[in-house]
Formats: sequence, C-alpha cells, structure tokens
Amino acid sequence: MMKSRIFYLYKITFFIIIMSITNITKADVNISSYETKNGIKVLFSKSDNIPMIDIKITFDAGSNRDGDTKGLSMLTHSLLDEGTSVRKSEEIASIFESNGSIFNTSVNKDRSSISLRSLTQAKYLNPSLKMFLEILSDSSFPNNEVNLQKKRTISTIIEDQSDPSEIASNLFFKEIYGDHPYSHPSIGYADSVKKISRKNIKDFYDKNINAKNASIAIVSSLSKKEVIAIAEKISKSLDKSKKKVITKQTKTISKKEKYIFKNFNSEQAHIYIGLVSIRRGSENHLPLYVGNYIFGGSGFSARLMQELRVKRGLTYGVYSYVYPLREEGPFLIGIETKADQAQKSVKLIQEMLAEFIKKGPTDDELKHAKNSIINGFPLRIDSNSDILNYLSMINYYDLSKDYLKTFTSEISKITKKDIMNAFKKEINVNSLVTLVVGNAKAKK
Amino acid sequence: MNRFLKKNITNFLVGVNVFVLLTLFLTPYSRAEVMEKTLDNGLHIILKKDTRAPVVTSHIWYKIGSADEISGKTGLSHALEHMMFKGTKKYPGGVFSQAISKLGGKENAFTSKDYTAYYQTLPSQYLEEALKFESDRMNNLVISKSDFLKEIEVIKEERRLRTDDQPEGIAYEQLYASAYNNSSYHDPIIGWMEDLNSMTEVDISNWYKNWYAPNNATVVIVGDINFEKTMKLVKKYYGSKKKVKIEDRIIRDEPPQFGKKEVSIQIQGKPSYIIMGYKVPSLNSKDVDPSDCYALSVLSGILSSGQNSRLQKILVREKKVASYADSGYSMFSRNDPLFLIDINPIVGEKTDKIRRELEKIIEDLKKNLVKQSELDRIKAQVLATEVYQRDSIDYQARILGMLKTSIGDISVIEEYTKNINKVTAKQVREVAKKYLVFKSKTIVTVNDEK
Repeated sequence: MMKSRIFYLYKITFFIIIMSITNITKADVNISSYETKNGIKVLFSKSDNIPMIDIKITFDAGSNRDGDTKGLSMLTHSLLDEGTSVRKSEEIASIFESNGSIFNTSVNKDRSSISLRSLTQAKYLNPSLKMFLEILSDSSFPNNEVNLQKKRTISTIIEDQSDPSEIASNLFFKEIYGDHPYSHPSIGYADSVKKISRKNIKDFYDKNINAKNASIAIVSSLSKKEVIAIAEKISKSLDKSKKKVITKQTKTISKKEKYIFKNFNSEQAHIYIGLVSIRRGSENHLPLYVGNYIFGGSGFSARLMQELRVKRGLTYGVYSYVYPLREEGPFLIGIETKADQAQKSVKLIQEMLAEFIKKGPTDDELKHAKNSIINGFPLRIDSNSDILNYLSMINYYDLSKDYLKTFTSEISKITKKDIMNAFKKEINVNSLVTLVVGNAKAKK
Repeated sequence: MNRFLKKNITNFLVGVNVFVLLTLFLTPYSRAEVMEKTLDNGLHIILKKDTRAPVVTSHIWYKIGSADEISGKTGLSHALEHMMFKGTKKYPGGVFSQAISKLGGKENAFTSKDYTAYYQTLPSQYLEEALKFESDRMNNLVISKSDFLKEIEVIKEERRLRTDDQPEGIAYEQLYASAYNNSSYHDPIIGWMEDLNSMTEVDISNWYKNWYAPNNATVVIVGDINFEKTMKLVKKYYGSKKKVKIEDRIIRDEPPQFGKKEVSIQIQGKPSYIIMGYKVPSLNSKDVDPSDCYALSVLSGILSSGQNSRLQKILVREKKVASYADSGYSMFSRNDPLFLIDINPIVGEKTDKIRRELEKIIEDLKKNLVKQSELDRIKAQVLATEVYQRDSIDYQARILGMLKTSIGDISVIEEYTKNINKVTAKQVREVAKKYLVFKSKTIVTVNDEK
C-alpha cells in the first residue's frame, strides 16, 4: 500500500504512455502457449538471466462487472489477501514478506488481475506459491477485514473529492458514458461502497475469480516443464465453480456535444475534452493510434505539446490518448493550466483537433511517427514486467498471433488517408464533451 | 486497492515515488559487470552491461541541485534543467528531442536537492546519437530571453500543479522550510514562486557556466553494450571538453535545534494530513558512524515496509485511524536529511489522536528491542529486491549515478547487503533513542482537528 509520493524529484515532463497498442511481440521474445486441463489459456515466456518468476492471472472481472454495487470488483480484489479459512491477514502478509515475494492485484474497467513475483529458488518460491494458490481457492473475507477495507476505501474516495484532477476525471467519464458500466471510477462512490456486504464480495469472488473466467501469463527463468506444473496448480485452485459468467449487456452510449463547467477553488483549471470512440479489434485502431501519436500521444514531439507548452508556455502537461476497451473506449485530451488561461487553451485545442481531422498529419509527421514507433519497438519489451503485461493482454483480448508478428509492418502500411478516415469516422468534433474544473476565472 | 495505482490510471505519473524508499535496497554487481574510468578532463564514466534486450540507457548526472542554491535564487537548477531542452547553435530547439523520438527512444530529466540528471533510453545501436547530442549541450546551450520567458511560465504551471494546488505538496515544502534554518535543504527544488517571478535568463546562464562541465559530471550507460567500444564513443564526444574551475560550494551548516517545531496549516475543504521529519545523518555527515545510517534504514523498513510493518499494523489495521502511513530515509543525501513519516488520516479521525498513537510507536522503538522476525523480513526483502531490480536498466543506471554524484563512490554497493544484514535489534533501538528525539523533530499538520 504505497502511496504516491509527489515530491522527491522534479522531472522535465511527464509522458503519458498509455499502451493502447497491445499487439506486440518480437522474434526474440519466445512465447509458448499451453492450455491447462480445465481449459485455462497460458502464455509463457522464458527469460533466463534473472532467477525470478512473474505470474499474472487475468480475469474478465473489471469494474464493468460491479453492477449496482459500484466499487465491488476493486474492494473484492483488495481483500483477497486479507484472510483464508485457515490463515489471518497478518500471517498471509508474513509468508509473502519473509520470502521476499510480492502479491498484487489490479482492476481496470474491463479486466482484473492477481499477480505474484517471487525468486525461483524453491525455498522462497514453494511457500509463496502455496500461499498464492490458497488465496485463489479459499479467500474467506472476514467481516472485520471487510469493514476496515470499506472504511479505508471510503476515506480515500472522500479525500479525492477535494482533488480537482480526480473530480475532473470522474465527472468526465460519467458524462461520456452515462449509465454504461464504464461510467464510474473503479474505486466506486462513497455511498455505493458503504452498501457493499460481505455476501456481495463472496458472490463476486465465486462467480468471477475462477477457471472459466481466467487466463494466465508467466515470465520466468524456470523451464517449460516447471512452468506447466505451476500453471496446472493454479488452474486446479481456480476450479471451484461451475457457474458460467453471464455476459453483461452493452448499453448504448449517447454522443452529444456538451460543455460543462464545475466550479472548484484551485489555481489551475483541469480540462478534459473527448468522447467515446473505438473498441478493441476495430479496423481503425492502428490508424487512430498513429494519428493520436502525432496529435498528442508522443510527449514533446506531439503537436499539442509543441503548440501549448513549447510555443506558448500555457501548461506543464498536455496529452491525448485513444484507449480501446472490449467495448468502446475513450479518446481524450487532458491539460491543466492557470485558471485565466483555461478558455484560451480549450479554444486552441478544439481548433487544433478540427484542423487535424480536416487535414490529417503532414507527410513528415507521419514518417517521423512511424519511424519512432517501429524503432522503439524493442523498448516496449525490454523487461520481464513489460513482457508479462503484453502476454496478459494478448490472452485477454484474444489477439491473433499472426497479426502480432506483423505489427511493425502493419504500422508501416498506414497512410495519411487511413488516419484521416479513421479520425473522421471515430472522432466527431460535433460530439465532443468539454469539461473545465476550476475557479471563476476559468469560466467562459 | 491501491491508491498509487489508482492515481496513475486517472491522472498521470507524477514524480518518481519508489526511488527514496528503495534506497534501502541496492543491487550488488560483480566487478566484471561494471567498468569505471575518469577522463583527464575529470568526467567520470560508469558502464554496466545488461544484455537481456537490445536496448541501452544513457545518463548524465551533474552534481548540482537545489542544495547548492542561495536565498533569492531558489529554483535555478530545476529551471536550467528545463532550459537544457531549448537547443544549441549546432542543434537548435527541438532537434535533439525529435531525433531521439525518431529513433524510438525515450528521454527525460530530473532535478533533486542533490543533483540534476538527463537520460535517453533507446535501441542500443543508436547510443552514439544520444551521446552526440547530450555532449553538445554540456557547454553549447543557447539560453535566449524569449525561450526563457515562455519556459518560466511552464515551470510556474508545474509549481501550481505539484505544490500550490496540493495540500500534501505544501506540507512537504513547509516541513523542510521549517526544519532547516540555514541548510539549503530549507528551500524547495522547484523554487519559491517569488523567486521564479524574479528569475532571469542571465541567472540561468551563469548557473549553467558555473556547474555544467566534465569535471562536475558522471556519464552512466547501462544496457546491451561492449565496454571498449562504448568507452571509445564516450571519449570521442566528451574527451575534448575542457575542465572548468568549479566554484567552491557554499557550505550552509545547520545550527542546533532547540526544541520541537510545529506548523499547522489550514486549507479550506481539504482532508487532514500529517508529515514529520527528524534531522538525521547520512553517509556524508561529519563524524558519522556509517552503521548508524544502516540501522536507520532498517528502522524505516520496520516502520513502513510491508503489511506487517509497525505503521501499517498499528495505525491502519489495529487502531484504524489512518488510511495510509509511510516512512522514508535516504542515507545517501549530500547534506543531513530528514527521516520522514507521513500519514493520511481516515477522514474524520482527529489528528491529535493519531499523533499520540504515533508517539507511542516511536517510544516503543526506543524502549524495546524489535523482533527477530521483523529484522528477517527486512533482510528477505533486501535480498529479493536486489534480484527484482535487475529487471530495469534505467533503475540500475539511477542507482549508480546517484551514488557517484551524492557520495562520490559506487563501491558502497558491494558491502551494502552485508551492512544491512549486520544491523542488530540493539542498534535499531540505539538509533531510535539517539535520533528520533524532541530536539530534532519538526511536524506539519494540514487541517488538524483536536
């Protein structure tokens, strides 16, 4: 539970690297696939140099499965290591910590994951793995732990209500997604978390954290045989429910142009501009990715950064991203600036976006972006943790292996026309939601 | 649920949070993995091989940070870091960044109290490009008034984002400003807004000329490299740089403190928060017994590393008064640092009550010996982290650059694990008694409730 420390180092900029391209592999990242006896897909990559293992189990159990109990997925995941039928929270933590292992969970809108990092020496790995399996099969969600975790969660949610960037982000997603399950923050709302019962949590765990709903990614120096043995053990631990997961209903998202101002007493205004755009697997994904890279997705080189920061000194950070999900994901532009510069920035960004959609990138920009993405390919897979995340995404989104191998050539084929068509189709300037959170000076 | 993760999903990554806490855990290396050399002009070079991927990270570290600044001119080191991206005669504004981007590389820079560093991470066959540009801006930077006037506005936006609109940022700034009377750790890295308002391009230019020189810098390169070839390349680009006379650094020794200092900040509508610091030694301190520093590191681990650490266990789980609690200590600071503890109360909990509980935790550490299981936990984590860190070339480069720049020597890594493992329960109690005392304590609360 480490909290973000904001203070220690001042960086020249923070780059927003949202990896919306997941379909990446490389000739010399060897990937083996395997299916466990009860049908869990396993992707494995061998990495010889470091005596460690990373295991990540991915579930189709993100916050879009919260239903009316918003925050349920995240609360359930945060409680997984807080007790089993034979062990208390302290003992679980002590087993991981005294063996130098790291247990972690994460939840986003689509997916959730449960992961373990351990040394491969048997004396550390065996007890850690045993504990990990026990959590998968037998988390018990003791009442006192449920209450404590709810209390901490609610406290964090209330704290966030005094943070303008949290307010802006939550409002923006609520606005673009309406009553769609992507609308709410994964942590939930104070009143929804309050209502979550132990039974809700236990039901969520039984229905979602099981073999029918899982895939496994492993990166390790262990042999394939050893990895398969581990995968089978995991698979067995998850084989506890015959229930089929019910696929949720897709709700339609209305796309209407809108301007929203929310008054908040801060020096800077926090601004989001965007809309709901494409889903994963869309034929427009790569053209949008490359176009967005040029427009606002590549740090200093991007148009937004050049125009608003470098040329005008309006902000420390401005960016855009496309984030395809299983269902339609957002395209958004974000910036923070001194309140009295908010409207000027909004106008400039809107004009720039309209211009980009109308005229597309220049030939030079396109060439530069393709070079950058293609040359930078090895950097995306230069660590075990990077590779692990890719394996997990490839599994979850069922990406075609052949398509992956040809990623760089797919990028190289993208034309200016592809980008213009994709932007025209997927980012309609007449449907943009613009949100400004700031003091009175930031208002129109 | 993890606050850190959550923040990073919705906002953007701010700062490098793991750095300070992980100073507990360094990765040892075998002699064969690392090559070191100092050129005639004083430039120090550290190379480390990691051939897992065809990637390299190239850093340059300057021994200049906010700790070298003086009153009225705070924020110069950080502002200069920003101006370093404005181009040279040979490679004007943006050429460097564009080139790195085109090669698929990432670049960034950061400033701390003790140092300023720049890096590029890119496919290893392009290392020479990074060196070509980075060496050029060591002494050929063009600092124009028009660029400065725009960039200083960017820096003010950065200050608003990280400090002025962030109660925790304000509290952190106030903690250092209150704890230190004379030490330059008194001033914030980004500088006071008042100083940013009066700063000029001439100030920056002088700062640049004073401190940016081969004899005040360390080049660190980690990745898929060949030692000989890489050393040749570094010499090619840096070998002809002239040594510059580096001004004597102004020593601002901290006078004794006479009692506890307390600051109470009121910011309407914000949650309460507690941050405190004890003045403690680093490996650089005069007459310090290094084993005290190792014991303080272990003490910080006992307090905050893992779910069973004291702060977690007592404040978060048993007393249920805090939603987060943390501590931090860096034994590698150039000046005497603060041993930090910070706490986010559960909304509605009285800060007074939390402070009393915290006081009990500290007093217990002074009176009773920590358990063997607690020491074992720290040791296991040190051992594992050594291995896990090898997964990031950038992190490896940071450790090397930081050590060389802050304490002048990277060999401390070799004995590091041994020294941590040597720490006994008695020593932990001794350093708690010696340093976590009334007369070295400063505490800042935001919206305290009694």
